[in-house]
Formats: sequence, structure tokens, C-alpha cells
Amino acid sequence: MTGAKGKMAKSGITVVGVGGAGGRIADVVAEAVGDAAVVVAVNTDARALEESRAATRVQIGAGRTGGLGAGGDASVGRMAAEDDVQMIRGLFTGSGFVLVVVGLGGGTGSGAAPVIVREARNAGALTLCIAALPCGFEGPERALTAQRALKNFLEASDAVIAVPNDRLFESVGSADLAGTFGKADRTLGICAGSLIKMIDQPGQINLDFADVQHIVRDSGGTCTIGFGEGTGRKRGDAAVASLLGSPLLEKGRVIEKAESLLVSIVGGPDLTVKDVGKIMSAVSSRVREGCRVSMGTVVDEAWQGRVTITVLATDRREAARPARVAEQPVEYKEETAKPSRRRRKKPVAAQAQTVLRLETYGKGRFKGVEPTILDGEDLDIPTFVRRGIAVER
Amino acid sequence: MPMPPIVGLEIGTAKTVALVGEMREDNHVMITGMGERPASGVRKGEIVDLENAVVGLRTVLEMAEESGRVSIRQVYLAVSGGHIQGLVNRGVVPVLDEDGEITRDDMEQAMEVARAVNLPADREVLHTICQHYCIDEQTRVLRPEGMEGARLALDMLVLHGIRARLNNTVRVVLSIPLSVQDVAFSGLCSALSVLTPEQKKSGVVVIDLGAGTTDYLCYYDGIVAAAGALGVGGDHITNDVALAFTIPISQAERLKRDSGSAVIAAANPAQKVILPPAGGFSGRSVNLRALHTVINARAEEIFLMIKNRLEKAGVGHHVGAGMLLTGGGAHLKGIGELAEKVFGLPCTIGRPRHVSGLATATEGPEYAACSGLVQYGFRTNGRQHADSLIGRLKALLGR
Repeated sequence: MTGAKGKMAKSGITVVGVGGAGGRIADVVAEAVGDAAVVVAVNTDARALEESRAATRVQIGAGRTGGLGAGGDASVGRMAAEDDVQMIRGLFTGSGFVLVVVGLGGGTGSGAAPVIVREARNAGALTLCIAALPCGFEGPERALTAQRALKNFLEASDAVIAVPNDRLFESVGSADLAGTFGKADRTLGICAGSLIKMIDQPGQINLDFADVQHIVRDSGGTCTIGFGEGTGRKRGDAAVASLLGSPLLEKGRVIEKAESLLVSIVGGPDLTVKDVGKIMSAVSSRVREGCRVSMGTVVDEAWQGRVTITVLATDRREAARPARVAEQPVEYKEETAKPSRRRRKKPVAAQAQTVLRLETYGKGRFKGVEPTILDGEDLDIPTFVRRGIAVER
Repeated sequence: MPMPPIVGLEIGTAKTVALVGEMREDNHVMITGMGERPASGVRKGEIVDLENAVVGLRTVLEMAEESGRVSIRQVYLAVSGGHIQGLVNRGVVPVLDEDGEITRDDMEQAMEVARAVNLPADREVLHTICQHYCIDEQTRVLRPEGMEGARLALDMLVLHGIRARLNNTVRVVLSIPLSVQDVAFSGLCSALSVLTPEQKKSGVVVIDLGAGTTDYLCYYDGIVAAAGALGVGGDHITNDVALAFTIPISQAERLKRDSGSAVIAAANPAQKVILPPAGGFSGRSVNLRALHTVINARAEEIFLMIKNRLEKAGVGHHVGAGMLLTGGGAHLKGIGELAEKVFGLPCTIGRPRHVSGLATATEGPEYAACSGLVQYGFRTNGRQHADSLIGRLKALLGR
């Protein structure tokens, strides 16, 4: 944890919006975080880039697509990124943390974003992806493209938050199409902005990238992000009400079912202990037994008279398990099931441990030094961890 | 005229070693002085803490001066690091002679062209090693002089590294202050030290298992076919052990040395090793089989990466003389057995040859690179007066 933080203190945060939806979300993030992060928009579509408000705009694959976009073909998106990989690499010099926001299902987002994440990671940055999954009516083809891209993401990045658009749309609840998409992008953008604030600014009760990583890995790839905001005198109550009322968290049901939760509270200098207590008790009174809750607070001058809550929740039963976890060697299950283990754990808890291992081991003495990366593998992470070999501790 | 003594210096990840060597009659190198000390300020073969590295180096040099009864002004320096890579560059020249007879000039011209490799701006050439000549369509010509052809091509193995990192190591030496006579890739030095001419001829792989880096060099078909380094080494094994059993690095290092094995050797799956409590460490017991599993995974991975690289360089199965392991990692139990399994080649521990003198420095595989460096020094030094270009290259090739 210290390694990750130390790295970040030295170098900046970069937010990359990839593709059309990614670019729009990045716009919102740019507005929300100010100069806490460098915002970059990457797209094959020259016209969409022109409208972007990001500080840096990068057009990729101009020779391949003629600036017209990837036409929904993920392989075109991927090749476009590979064409201009030098330019992409240049984006990450000096960044310690890279957040990639993207809408999956299209060509540029699904194809180029995994390449961008890979390059960011190779440049030594910690990477987090927020990916919006296409909603049901967009058709099975887009869903398939998105699932494939998601798998690439899981392999390439340190952590992925996948948000189903269906749920986003429910939460914004607007009737017209353009408005719905716009509001969905805005919600994701604000969530992403809150995450960056949380990671960037040291809080009284601190949360950092390691906590986010913990939560996200625990989920096996997809997890739910929730957001609540309150202003005025009773802002604590209002924020709780908007959080629990939001369809993003299925009106609070996600919290009740969650395996682990990460709660980040951002408030102004006037944030009171009572408010924090109120929010936390509202959350903890709803969680089920055995749920791991971690919390952090950030005080931001600009948040005077306002409080926002960002919740990351994982729900094992609903989450799609990534291939990596599914391929755990059989012998491992035997080990965990053995009653002779020092501490007997509930089966679910024991299984959670297998997934969590990746970051509980970390890199030891090689933390903070330049990683040895070969063929996309970080060789400083113990081999037995990367290969998923069971070791009796 | 007796040659002045040569000092070989290796600033390694685990230890810094300086050896003082004197040339005796029959081209025999005698090690007369030695300084050694656990290194500080080095990770994965690269300097990370300049100040600490300088302090350590000073002590080592004082020790070497005292034991060798010399005053050290200049050194040969061994370098390594995962950034060192090899590539084969082909230089082609037309044969100038009217009859098409290839002369020495043509050969030098081809070398000149083959050596002029285009590298990224931040990289520097460390060594250029001639592989073989091609005359028109005829490949694998070793000595083309006097033969006939229209076009002469030469394949040159170019070893290169990132300039800034190489310079960092040099900088440590310069700040002593000492001058650096030459810089050599430690994998090459190890090979120089442990190989016999017969082994070079029949093909051999040398792997130097250092603490921070693993260097490799392969003779195949009578030439140096591939060489390079990986930024992974014994420290990674120790780190894996420390993380797997949540014990301090120092304990993990001891555990690795005393009970570690690169092959899973524990017959009884329940066998335990007791780590006694020591200075702040409360002690615990570790499953021996689990320990071997952790070490095996890492060591096997390192070998597989090298195997992969050798295959890419076109090294087939005709490595007649098998492989030699050098470096501190060669002491690890079962490492030879594992290497035999991975590469399918007979494997031995490489110890410094062609040198005599101080017992420690001439016997252990961990001193192969440094004693090879002293030999490198004498070879390049001796030839430089006579025939700088070709002499140096031939000396490297060991022909």
C-alpha cells in the first residue's frame, strides 16, 4: 500500500476516455476533478474528438479509418491503437495512476482500450478501468464484443469496474434517448471523479488505490458502483437517501447482498463527525453479516455545504467470474476444503481468500522499484502467484 | 615485458567483487588479490542508490589493494541488467578486387558495416561479436580471406544496453575516483571464464544465475549465437519465499540456502523446516514441499524464458557440450537437475578455469564472471597493441 501511494505522490493521475462514450465520460471527469488529473480523449473518430473537452486529444488509426471511427469493429479499434502505439505510450510518461473510462460494445472502445491499458501498465502505472457494458436492447452482438473486451481488460489492468448500462439507465430514469445516455455518462463521470479524488487526496480516514483494487479483485471483475449526493443543512440524510434510493444499487438491495463494500465520503470543511457517523451507520445497518466494509473520507474545499458518497459493492453470486479464477487448479480447492487448516473458514470466505491472494502477496522488496515486465507479465510478482499454484502457508 | 596487473570489478546485486590478476608465463592468469563485500544500493543489477554503492565499493577496493599489494588506479568493469539485449546485424559489402578475391580489407569493411547498427537513441553498443561470413549464396564461412566471390556479408551479434543505466555503474567507479579501462557484459565474462575451446566448438549454453539478473550466452555452430540478460534472479526467488510464508527477507534468504531446492525434493508432504526465532522474528515452521514448490516455479520460469529466447535465436538441439551454470544461484540444490529437465541437455556447474591463485576466487561458480573479466582484460589489453580491431574480436570469439 505504501508503495502504491508513494508512487502516486511522485507522479500524476491520467484519465483516458476511449471511444465515443469514453470521451463523453472523460469530459465529465475533467469537469469534476479539475487539475487533479490529466484528462485525455482517444478516439478514431475525428469529429467526436473535436467536440471533446479533454486537455489532450489523440486521434488513432487515422490511416486505417480515415478519421471516420472504427465502425463497430473491435479488431479495427485494436489495430488503430497498435498503429499509433508510440503516441499512446507517450501519454503515460510520468503517470503513476491511469484511469481508463470506456463504453464497451463499439469498435474503438472495445478494441483500442485494452491496448491502451496494456501500455499504461507497461509504463509502470497502476491501472483501473471503468467500463460501461451495453444494455440489452443494443443486441447480442454488441454484448459479445463487450464481453470479449472485458476479458482483455481483466487480463491487462490492475482492476476493472464494469457497470451494466441497463442499471445506469434505470438510475437516471429519463425518457428520451439522448437524455438517458447523457445522464448515464454524467453519472459514471461523477463516480469516476469521486474515485480519483479519493485516491488523489489524503483523507482523514484514508482510502487509496489498494483498497479499490482489493474490492474490485474480490468481485472477480464486475462490481457495482453507487453514488449519492446531498446538499444543505440535512445533507447527510439527503446523501444517504439518494444513495439508497438509487437504482444503481437497486434501491439499497445491493448493499444488503454485498460481499464487501468500499465507502468513500467527500465533504467540505464543514463535514461533521455526525454526518459521517450517520452515513456509516445507515450503510452498516444494512449490510449482511460477514461483509467487509472499508471507508474513507476526503475533505475538499469545493465541497462546502455538500456531501457525496461513492460506494463500490461486490456481490459474489451475481458477479461474472473471470476465466483466471475459474481456471484455479483443482488441487487448490482440496487444500482449502481440508479441515486440518489452521483456521477453519466458511467455504465462501475460503474461496474469497483465493481471489484476494493476488494483492495480499504483492511484490515484496520489489515494490516501488521499476518493474521487470516481459511479454506483458510483471516478473516481480511471485511466479507461484501468477501461475495460480497452491502453496500451503 | 610483464604486463601490469589487471583489476576486474563486478558491482553485483548481492555482492561487489574485485579481483587482481597477474599474467604469468604460458598465458596463465594468477589471481593475487581480492576484495568482496555484500553489495548495497543495487537492485536487479542496476544502481539504485549511488551513494551507498560508492561506500561499499571503496571498502572492496581497499581489501583488494591490501591483499594484492597493488595500488588500484583503473579497473575493468562488468555490467549486467535486464536491459541488455542482443541482435544480429548483417553487413554486406561488394568485393573490390577485380578477380573477386576477398582480402582483409573487404573483411574489415564488412565488419565496419555490420557494426554500424541502428539503435534507439538511448541505447549503446556494448560488444560486437562476429558470427560468420557469407560469400554470395554460400553461408557459414568462417575465414573468407583468399576465397572468391562478388559479395561478402558478415553477421554480427551486437550486444547493447540502455546508456544511462550502463553509465550509472561506470559513474560509481569514476566517483572513487578510478578510471574504467573497459566495460564488459558479465554474461560474456562468465563464458570466457568457464568454457574450454572444445565446448565452444561443439556448442554450449552458459547461464549465470546472479542475484539480480540472469545472464546467458550460447555458442552454437562455432559462433556466439545468442546472448542477453533477464532482470530476474536469485533475489526474486528469495522474495517469492518471503512473500509465500510471510517471513523477513533475511530469513527467506537463509531458508533458501539451507533447505531450498529447485526441484520438489521433499518425499514426505508433511515435512517441516523450523525457523528459529531471531532478532525480532518470532520463528515459525515452513512446509518443505511448499518451499520447494515456490522455488521451483520461479527457477523453472527463468529457464523457460531463456529457452524461449534461444529458440527464437535459432539455436536447435545440437548444443553438444550441454550447459554450464555459474553465479551464486548455481549453488541452489537441484538447479542442475531442473535445468536438465527444462533444456533436455546435460548440465554441470561452471567453475572458473585458466586461473589459479586465491582458492575462493578460482573455485566458486559465483566468481566466474569476475575472473572471466580479468581474462577479458588481459586478452583485449594484449591485442590492442598489435591489432586493435580484429584482434579484439577474435579474442572474444576464442578462436
